[in-house]
Parts: sequence; C-alpha cells; structure tokens
Amino acid sequence: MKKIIQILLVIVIPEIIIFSMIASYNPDIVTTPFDNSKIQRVQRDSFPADHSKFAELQKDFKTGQEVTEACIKCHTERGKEFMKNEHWKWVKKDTNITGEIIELGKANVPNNFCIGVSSNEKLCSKCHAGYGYGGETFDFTDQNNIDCLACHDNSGTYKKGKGGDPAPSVDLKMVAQHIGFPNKENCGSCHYKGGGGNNVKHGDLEVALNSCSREVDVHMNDAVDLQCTECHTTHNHNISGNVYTVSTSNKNRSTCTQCHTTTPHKSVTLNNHFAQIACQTCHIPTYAKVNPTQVDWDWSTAGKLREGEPYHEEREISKDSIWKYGSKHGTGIYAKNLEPDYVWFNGNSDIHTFEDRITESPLVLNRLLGSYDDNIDPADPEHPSKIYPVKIMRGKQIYDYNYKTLIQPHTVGPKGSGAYWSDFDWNESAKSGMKKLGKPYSGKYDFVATESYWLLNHMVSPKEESLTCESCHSRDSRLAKLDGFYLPGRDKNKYIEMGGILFIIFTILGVVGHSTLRILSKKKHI
Amino acid sequence: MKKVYIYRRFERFWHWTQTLIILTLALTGFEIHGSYNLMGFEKAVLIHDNAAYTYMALLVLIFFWLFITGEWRMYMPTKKKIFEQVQYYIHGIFNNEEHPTHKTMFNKFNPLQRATYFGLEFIIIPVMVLSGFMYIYFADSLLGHNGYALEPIAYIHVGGAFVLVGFIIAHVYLTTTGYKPMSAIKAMVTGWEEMSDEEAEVAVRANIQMLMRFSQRKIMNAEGEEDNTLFDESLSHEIDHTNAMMIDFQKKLKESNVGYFKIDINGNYTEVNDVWLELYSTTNIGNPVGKHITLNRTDEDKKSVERIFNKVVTQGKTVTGSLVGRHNSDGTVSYHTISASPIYINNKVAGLEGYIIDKPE
Repeated sequence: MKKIIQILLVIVIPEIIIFSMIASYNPDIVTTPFDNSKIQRVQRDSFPADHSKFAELQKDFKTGQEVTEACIKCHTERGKEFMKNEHWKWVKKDTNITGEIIELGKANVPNNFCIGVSSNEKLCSKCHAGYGYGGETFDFTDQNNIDCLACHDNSGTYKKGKGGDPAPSVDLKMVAQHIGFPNKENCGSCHYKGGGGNNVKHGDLEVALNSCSREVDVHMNDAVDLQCTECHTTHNHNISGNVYTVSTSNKNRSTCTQCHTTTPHKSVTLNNHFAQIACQTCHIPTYAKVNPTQVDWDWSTAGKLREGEPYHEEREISKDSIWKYGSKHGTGIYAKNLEPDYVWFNGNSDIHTFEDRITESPLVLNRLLGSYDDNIDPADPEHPSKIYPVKIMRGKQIYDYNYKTLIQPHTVGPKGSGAYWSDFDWNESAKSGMKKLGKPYSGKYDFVATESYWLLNHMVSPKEESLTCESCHSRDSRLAKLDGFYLPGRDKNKYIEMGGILFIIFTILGVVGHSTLRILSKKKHI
Repeated sequence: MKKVYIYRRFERFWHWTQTLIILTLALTGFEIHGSYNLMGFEKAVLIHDNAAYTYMALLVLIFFWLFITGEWRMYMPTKKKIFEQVQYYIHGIFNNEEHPTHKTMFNKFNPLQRATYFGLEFIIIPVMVLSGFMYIYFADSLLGHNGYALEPIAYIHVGGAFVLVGFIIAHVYLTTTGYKPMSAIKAMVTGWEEMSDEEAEVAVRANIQMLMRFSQRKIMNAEGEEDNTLFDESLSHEIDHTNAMMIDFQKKLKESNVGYFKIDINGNYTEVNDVWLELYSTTNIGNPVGKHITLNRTDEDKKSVERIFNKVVTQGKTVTGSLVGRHNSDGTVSYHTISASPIYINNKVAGLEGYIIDKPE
C-alpha cells in the first residue's frame, strides 16, 4: 500500500499534472483588433446642403459641361484639384526602379488585357472622368470637361454614353440635384469593369460588392456597408490607393492598419506574422468568389473568321472555368473561386513600358519587387517585404520582332483605319497604333507571352474562412513557389530526412534481430 | 531472485517526466516538421512550445541535482570493461552468461550506457534545447531581423530529433535485458530492481561498502584528519561521491551498527570506523591503527583471526559470516560476525578490508 502511494506521488500524479499543463496552457493575449481612434466613418446621411434647393441647379442642363460649370460656380477650387488627379490625366508622376521620376498611368503603360489606351481613346472614354476624352481636340486644361457626376451622382441614374458624354437618357437636372459623397456604385461603375466586363481585370472588384453577404466581403457587405472612400481616404480630390500595374513606388497606399491594429490576433505567434505576412495573405483565401475573372488572354489566336464574319463561342472547361473565343479578342480563360498566387512585395514595382526591350518570356509587365532577404536586411528598413496574394494574369500579345519592344495595336475604329477589330490585320493595326503612340515599328511582329500581377486587397473573407496554419506550413504549401527561406512544415533537407529514417530503420532492424536471437538461444538453452 | 534498491525518488520522477516530455516533443515536433497531420499545426506548435519550456525547467532541476550530488560522475565515459560489455551484448547474452558489470545505487550504468547517456544528456539534449530555443526566438522576434537564418538551426533540430527517436527505440528494447524482461522498467517505477541472488549480493555489498566509507569519511573529518586516505586506488572513481548525496545513508549506517576495518599485508590495522571502536572499546583496545590484529586477544581468538587473515590474504578468498569472539574488560565474551575480502593494488593482494556486525546474546 505504502509502495503504491509512493509511486502515485513520485510518478503518476506529477506526470498527470505536467501533461495537463502542457496540453492546455495557451499564452493568448487580450487584444483589440480595431483602433477606434483611427476609424472615422463618413456620415453620409448628413451631407451638409440640400442641392435640390439651389437656384443654380434648377436649369434643364443640355450637356455635362453645363453641369460642371454650375458646380464650379460654388466649388471654385475643386476643378483645379481634380485636374491633378490621375483620374483626369490617366498618368501620374512616380519614382521608378532607378530612382528617376517618370509619368506613367493607363495612358502610356501597356497591359495584357486591351493592351493600351493610345489610338483607342474612343472606347476607353467610357470610363474617363471627363467629357469627350475620345476626341482629337480634348482639352485637358478646361475644367468644364470634368465629369463630376460620374463620381458624385447619388441618384443611381447617371450613365456615361458615347465619347464619355452623359448618356442621352440621363436627366441631368435631377442628377445634379442629387449629388453627394461617392459611394461604391460610383467607383464600381468603372473599377468593377476594367478589362471590358464585370470582374474581368481585378478578380476582387466586381458588381457583387454592391450588395453582398459577409462571406463575400466582410467590409462591403450589406450589414457593415463600408464604401470605397472609407479606406481610399480622399483629401482635396487626392485619392489614396495604388494599383501596381500603373504605380511603381511605396506611397499613398491604402492599408488595413488605417483601422486595424498591428496586433489584432489573440495569438502572439499570429501577431508575429505581421512582420512578414500581409493581412490579405491569410484573409483572402480565394478570389473571384461570385463571378469569374479573366486569367488568360491569348491575342495571337484572334482573327479567325467564319464565312468572312467574326464570330464568338464559349464553353465550360470545368465547374469554375470557361473558355471563350472571339475573332476580335482571341482566346480567353475565365475562372472563379481561385486560389491566389503569392509573392514577396515591398511596395515597389518595375513596370515594363513601350520603350523597354523584351528580354524574357514570359515577359513580366509589372514586376512586384521584394524578397525574403529584402525583409531581413536591417540596412534597408524602408523596404520591408511581406508576402502578398496576387492574381497573375497571363496572356500573349503583339510585339515588334526586330525592335523587341511591345506594340500598341490600334483596335477600335472604322474599317480601313487599321483598327484590328474592323480590319483583322495585325500589321496595319500595329502600324497605326505605333504611329499614334509616336514610336517606331519595324514592320515585323510576333506574339510574346506576358504576365501581369494584380495584388488582391478586396473581398476579405470572414475570419472563420481565413487560411489555417497548414495552408502554408505543410508539404503541400500555398507558398511552395517562394524560396530563399526556411518555412517550418514545408521544407526538409532530403539528406537529413533520409539519414534520419535510415538510422531509425537500422535501429529497428537491430532490435528485431537481437531479440529474435535471444528468443532462439533461450529455447536452445532450455 | 531478490530486489535491490537502485533508483531514488527524484531519479524516478525526472526519468518519467523527461520521458513524457520527450515523447510529447517528438509527436508534436514531427507534426510541425510536416511528417504527418494529427492534431493540426497550430495545436502542435502550442504544445511543443509548452513542453519545451517545461523541459527547460526540468533540466535545470536535473542538472542541479546531478552536480550537487556528484551523480554526474556516473555519466563520465570509461573504457573499463567496455569490451566485455560489447561482448556480452553480441555474444554472452545469447549463452545465458552473467552480466559483466553490476548495477548498484552508486554505479547504475554499464560502460556502454555511460557513453550513451553522456551523449544524450550532455550533448544531444543541450544541442536540442539550444537549437530549439533559437528556433522559438527566431519565430517570436519578427521572423527575421535576428542576424541568423532559421534553416541550419531547423536542420540541426530535426537531425537531433531523428537521433532521439532511434535512442528511444533502442533504450526501450535494452530495458528487457535485465533479470527478467520487465525488471528494469519495474525498477524505474518502484526503485527496487529484481536481480539474481548473486547479483543482488554484489549490489547490496557495494551499497553497504559505500555507506561504510561515507560514514568513516565523516568521522575522520570530524577528527581533523585528511580524509583522502580513505580513497585509495582500489576504489574506482564511480564510487567517489560527495557527502551531501549520502546524508540519509550515513544515518542508516550508524543505525545499522556496522563496524569497518582495513588491514595491511603485514596484519596491522590501517583503518577502523567509529562503530568498530565502539564494539572493541569494551576491551580497552585503544587506537588500533598500526597495531597487529592479534593484539589483546586470547590464544584461541588469535588463531581464528589469523586463520581468516590467511584465507583472505594468501588465498584471495572472501570470508563471510565467520563468528569471532572479543573479551570485555569485565571478563565476559561478546561475539560478532566478520566478513572480509582482499584489497588488490596492481593485481597483488595488498591487504584486506571488511565489516563486523555485533551478534547479540
């Protein structure tokens, strides 16, 4: 009895206590995920003045310019502010990889969707925040050309029509009397539709955000209903936020920490990840959750005609992806519920312009800069890299075979103008487009594979759906393609692994052999 | 079969706590490594970290104990009998041969165990703790910016883990090589190890000899004499322990009333302990050191002690339980049993030592 009590006291009870401590202790801390002092929600229903009572707005406006003129009568400085905004010029000054300040934007940077604006302004004017952008004579210095209503219409009835002018059906008087802070429908009227259709370009910005559930977006759903400008804060018409297909430097970004703290999790270990993992990486587990986004655009197959006429066809490849062909556009692949790719990114990018020579295939149009080493280099605290989720858009587009530069094709225009969508002749399209761009064309073209990287920031999922540890810390890691660092759970050294397993196997064999001999010899001795 | 007390309470406590922690660390560690998916990475990391910090605390206790008690000496590798031990495992064990070494409370490990446990407790585990600590520190302080890369640390840690798994397999198997397959494990639980009668006698005698030496050492210290004379070359270093470890056993020795003596090749006493003196002081023998064994004895007794002396010194035999009488000053005779064994120096008999236990009327 005494012996049993002693064993209980010396071994059994201490082990039970120690094991239950080890298995249950959790060093979580109490944290606040939000910093309330940072959050200032716009009071939309208290817009300071009722514009429907203003005498200036009681006219029957004939054109958009007349409305703008009326706006500027009171808002005297706003026009000048807006003309500095990249929504007006479609270029902005930014610092490139060599430190030189350049002007870049939609207007002069090639992409792998519709390739570029130049020579195709008429089509692009649908989304320009001005009236008449497509015309040869568009005056960038005339304030009256600003389209105030595209962003400030709160009636929900404003639409842009031909040449960027208001659509004929719009009642400008009514719209002008119902203006207010931009809401997500205003921003979305252009930003949802980049690339020529809903969600085609970004993959995380689409019409569904206007009214959605928490599962689609924790911020923009019907219950929380954050508007774009609550994160993309705007002062004097300078809107924060970059898209790195047309931005090169780490400034004026919109970030999660505008509202959230840098230690939002209870788990200290998770909070430590903040140093190297962007919030989006875990909290945007999939993108294009409602409607498909385009992931591949092969221009090189365009131009096939049926009985002399362009045609269009599409079919499902799988449950979540569609293959499309059009004589004008070539082949496209659209998909939804996609797992992001992941990159190291330090807020800077290297953008391939029409001047740059092509030295690689696939050609990366906007290389997101950053690496693991960039993060651990204490000499460069300004460039801390984190892992970000991206959509990689792949494509094949026209380039100058001799000059090894990308070509701006002329796509939209009447028959005989060289516009590809009317004439289906790449050579003429290239000639016309490059002439408009003011760059040389050698006369020989080919197609090059290209990639563009689109950071995913929207459609943040509920926390229950965020990535788990195993999403990255496992053999089948989402970060499989990122190298230069050791990731627990993902990485192993094959020699250590093989040596270790062999050591264990030999030990077991030794035990089995030795014990067998012992049993046999025991029998022999008996 | 007899049972001998081998493992003390704290040893059993730390052995099994270490077992629990290492198994927990291995189970969660290989999950973190990506070898399998059992409880999930997050839970595995949490438990692994908790177990690691608990283990650090336990190691502080273990090493404190090992160094304070001097038990660390048991871990020092030795070449003595290592060849015989290897021979035993590859040959003798299959022929029912005796273990070439004996397990006692003061010398628990055979030479192979010494080498293995030395490597384990003083190399592998410190390396694992250090690399593991650097691993946690790396993760805790911003996953970088520390001036060292995780990769080599992780590989050392994983490599060490494989070695430990191999060790556990071999260790568990070798516990079955005791007197009975379960003897060693039972001993680790209860402290009492089952042994054959012969082995038990060796172990008990070694334990008692140690007790006697420590008792004597304490007395000599009290008298202000050099105590290192007690530890001549015939004592192997593994029984050279500190007083602190032995306090409760000294007490037991005194209670057990065992007298110790040592005699040189000429038959002169070189050492006796307090119990010996207590027993003999009834005959006013005085300080016997330097005097011949036949001093103050009757002819009959002279003959019997000389007979024992010759048997041990000239024939190299061990005498146990011989009855010897001693004459008290009031004329009465008391008896004690005497056990003695030869002392070897350079493979030659240099004297004898033994103990006497009073035989009550």
